[in-house]
Amino acid sequence: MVEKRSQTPSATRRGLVRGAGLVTAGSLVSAFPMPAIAQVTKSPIRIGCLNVYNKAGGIYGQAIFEGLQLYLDQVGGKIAGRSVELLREDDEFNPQVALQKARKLVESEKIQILAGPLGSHIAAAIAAYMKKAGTPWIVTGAGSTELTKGRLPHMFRATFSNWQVASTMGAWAAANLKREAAVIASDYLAGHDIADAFRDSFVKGGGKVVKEIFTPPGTNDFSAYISDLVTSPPPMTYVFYSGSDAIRFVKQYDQFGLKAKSDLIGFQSTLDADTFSGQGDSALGAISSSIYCETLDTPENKAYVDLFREKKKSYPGVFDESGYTAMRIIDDAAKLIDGNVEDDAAFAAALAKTNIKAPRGPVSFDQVTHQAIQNVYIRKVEKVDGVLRNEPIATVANVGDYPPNKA
Amino acid sequence: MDLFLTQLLNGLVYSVLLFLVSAGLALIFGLLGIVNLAHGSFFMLGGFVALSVTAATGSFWLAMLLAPIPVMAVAGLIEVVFLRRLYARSQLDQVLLTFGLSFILTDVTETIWGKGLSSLQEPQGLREGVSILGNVFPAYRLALLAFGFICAFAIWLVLERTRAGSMVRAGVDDARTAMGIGLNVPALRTATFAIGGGLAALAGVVAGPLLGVFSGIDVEVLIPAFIVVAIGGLGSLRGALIGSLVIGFADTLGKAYIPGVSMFLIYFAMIGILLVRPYGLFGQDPAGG
Amino acid sequence: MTSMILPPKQPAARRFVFVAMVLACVVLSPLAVLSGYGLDVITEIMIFAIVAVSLNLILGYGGMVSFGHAAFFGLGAYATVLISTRYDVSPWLGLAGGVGTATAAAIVIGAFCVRLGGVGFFMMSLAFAQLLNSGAIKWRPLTGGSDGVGGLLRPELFGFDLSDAGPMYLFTAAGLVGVLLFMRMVIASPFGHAMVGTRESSLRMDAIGYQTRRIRLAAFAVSGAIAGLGGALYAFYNGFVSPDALSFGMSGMILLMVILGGKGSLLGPVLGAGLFLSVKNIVSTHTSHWLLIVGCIFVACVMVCPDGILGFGKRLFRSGERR
Repeated sequence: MVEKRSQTPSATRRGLVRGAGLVTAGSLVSAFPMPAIAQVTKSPIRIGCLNVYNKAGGIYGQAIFEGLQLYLDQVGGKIAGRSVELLREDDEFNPQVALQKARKLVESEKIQILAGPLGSHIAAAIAAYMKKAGTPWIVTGAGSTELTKGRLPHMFRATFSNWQVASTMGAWAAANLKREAAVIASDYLAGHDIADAFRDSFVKGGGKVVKEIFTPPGTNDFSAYISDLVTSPPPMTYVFYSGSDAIRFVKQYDQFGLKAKSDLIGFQSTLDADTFSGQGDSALGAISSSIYCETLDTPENKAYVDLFREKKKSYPGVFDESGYTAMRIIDDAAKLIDGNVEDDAAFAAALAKTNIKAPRGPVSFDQVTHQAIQNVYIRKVEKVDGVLRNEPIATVANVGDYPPNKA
Repeated sequence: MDLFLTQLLNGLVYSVLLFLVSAGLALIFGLLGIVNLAHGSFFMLGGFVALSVTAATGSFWLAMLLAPIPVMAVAGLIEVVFLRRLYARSQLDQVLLTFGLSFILTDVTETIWGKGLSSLQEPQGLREGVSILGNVFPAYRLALLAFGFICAFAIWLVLERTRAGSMVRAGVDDARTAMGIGLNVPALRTATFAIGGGLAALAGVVAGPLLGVFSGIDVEVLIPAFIVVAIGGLGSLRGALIGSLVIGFADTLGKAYIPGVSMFLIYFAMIGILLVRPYGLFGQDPAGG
Repeated sequence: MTSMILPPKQPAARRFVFVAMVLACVVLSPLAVLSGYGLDVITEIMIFAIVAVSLNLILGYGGMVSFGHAAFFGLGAYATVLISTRYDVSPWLGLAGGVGTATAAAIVIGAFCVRLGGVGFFMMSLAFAQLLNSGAIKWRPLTGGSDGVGGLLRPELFGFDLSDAGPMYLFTAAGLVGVLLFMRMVIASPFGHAMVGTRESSLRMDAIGYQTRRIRLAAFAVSGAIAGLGGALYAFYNGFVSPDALSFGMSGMILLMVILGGKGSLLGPVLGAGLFLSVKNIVSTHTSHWLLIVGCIFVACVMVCPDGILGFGKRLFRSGERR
């Protein structure tokens, strides 16, 4: 878990920055008792990475973890002069297990920061406990709109909210695509969240939802639903699936010839860099909305994609970038308080001041709900040099949290 | 084409898929008496091997031909090393063993092929849709339908009409007598388990273009396969076919016409059939036979 | 454990005092050594030990292999959480409701299952558990669907707040000891003998006038009630329940604990639960290959100690004695 430290120019620069940090720390000595400082500079920062790493959802948990690790490697394994330990715990996508593992990380492993989880139901299950524990918590995957409504003082969602991504698509699709759509989504919290957000803004923009279908997670065969749509095809179909469901649906949608009759549009996870290898050309031409797009033409993103592709052949997806940026946010905030992340309140205050240019674009936090404010991109699946990837076709800048969450 | 007819066709295709998955399970139970919880793992392994074969050669047909072979080897090895010592023991021991093996196989698969989501590309020529009475139906699904029935017929033919089949049946019915007349019963058992595993792998390949190939699919296919053999009768090939049809149609038509209760439908069917026929439609009371 | 080590012939009273003292030491020692999370882990093990013991009643003594025991565990947990949170009553009523619901369900489901033997029983119990699992996923307004339902706060008991790890641990330990004593009584009773009789030969028991189906149903109901108690305690423990508690995987896990520890013995399932959860907790933290290691343990267990760890230990003990 401890990363190799090569003597690259960037590592040397890190050393300088660290020196500067110590100077600042020295000037603040009077404000802090001495032993605390001594301890702060020595012991590593412990970050608990609670996520699903095995089986179906494991691909995303793994992506988030590798994203955290990638940033950490890039900065030489140190944050604000302190080395970092990443403690991995598998929540098995099971809320019961997750709650127990969260307790373990906080009480037994004495972590200073929790990063995770992927599942919205997991986040909901541990929220009450995390509120009581007070440990700063960076949400790296769970997108449920309701999560930020609770306004946990130490929780920051450094990634998307379902509402942010889906409602942006609803408004944009009503204005730029067709006026009638069917909605098909996975039958759990996120699926209903996303379908609601899309419908509300689509209808507000003058669109009409002609059919809504919710399918049980892990559906093998979508033919019954797709045949139903084929008989009177809606002008377009808005889709939310993730993981294996996303692959099966998009393939079967194409196999039944529905793609030619009804435009395929969807939520980011339905059509992302990590699903393309399974979907193949069936995904070509489909449009989705997301907080990230792998082909963004910014220096930050180009540098990130190059770094990512040194390790992997594929392009990064939403969750790869979420992990990477989450660690960047932790780094920046820790520097602001000279690495004294043990001070939960000060660290949370520093996190709230986040204002960075991430690969995905500018990121800051809503001061009330702690939801990341960021761009939402409308993307289209294109084939470049034989490789499928998303190309941005429109940008909606600085989308914030679901307004009622702030009221 | 009428929507109802389309849904019937969908149900038939899904039934065939279920049959291909459960045939090996039924075969292994029927001939060896083993409840094989690692059956889904064989299915998954088949898909992944096919993924590697198509990546190297670009040929789906070659993958279909080659992928079952290493899986059969793995299954045969498992029979020789572990299961051989367990025939005299209770079925519970076999459950625990095959469950443990499925954990190991999942980990090995993830280590070799990673956790990514993949799927197999349909072979050239079957990618397009076929127009039936004005509606498009995927050609691959029609081919799958034909393949499933050919498989069912072939298995039946081998078991009932060939010398190898009669040897297997003899070895199963009465191992001691079979040995007395010079049959190599241990070898027969190894071959049976290997062929059952190979069937699962073959199902994993042909299901690849529809269901995808990824770690976790093993459990996803194991549960429906279990329900199929429970309904059809553990160990009966005919039962697996009928059970697949019952579940395939109940599930597809349920999704299409009563989506609210479609999830329950297959379990109600299972309970109802088990009430009337405790050992499944074509199963035999082990105490009686 | 203790009864095995003690010489068999001792005055009953002295023996009882000795057992009680050992038991008290075993129960109290973690309180002194561990805190917070450590106690939580042992609490969880004890909860699953209760569930495993309940399955062992029908599996080990009654010969009924259930692949659906999660049904009663999950129902107990769901009923406890739902009654306590939706109707805003004391969690103690929730607990009672949890056990009651599980018992009622066990009687109904049992009426279907005990008619069948062997594989039929196995499949029927699986079907009912899957049915309940689907129900929990589908009935979103009541159960929260696959996201689960939470919000249960642990109550007080004799002035001790169960939301602290210590009191919760003691409460669960009392539950486990109570269940074990009850099991001992049941097994030694004429009913227990009759149950073992039906396991060995249902036909013979029928012939000498026992109503085997009723005996099996009663055992099934008692087993379901205890599993429901485990579920209710689990609801207290987590304050939360999701369809995973009713799943195929959960049923399999409970079954494995029993087989791993040793079926048909009082303490085998307790050991099985302890081993399974400890290994899972420890191994999964240190390596991403925990599936491989857990799998290898199962395989090794089947090959080396077919009658469970307890049976293996007994054999070792006996062979040592003989020498």
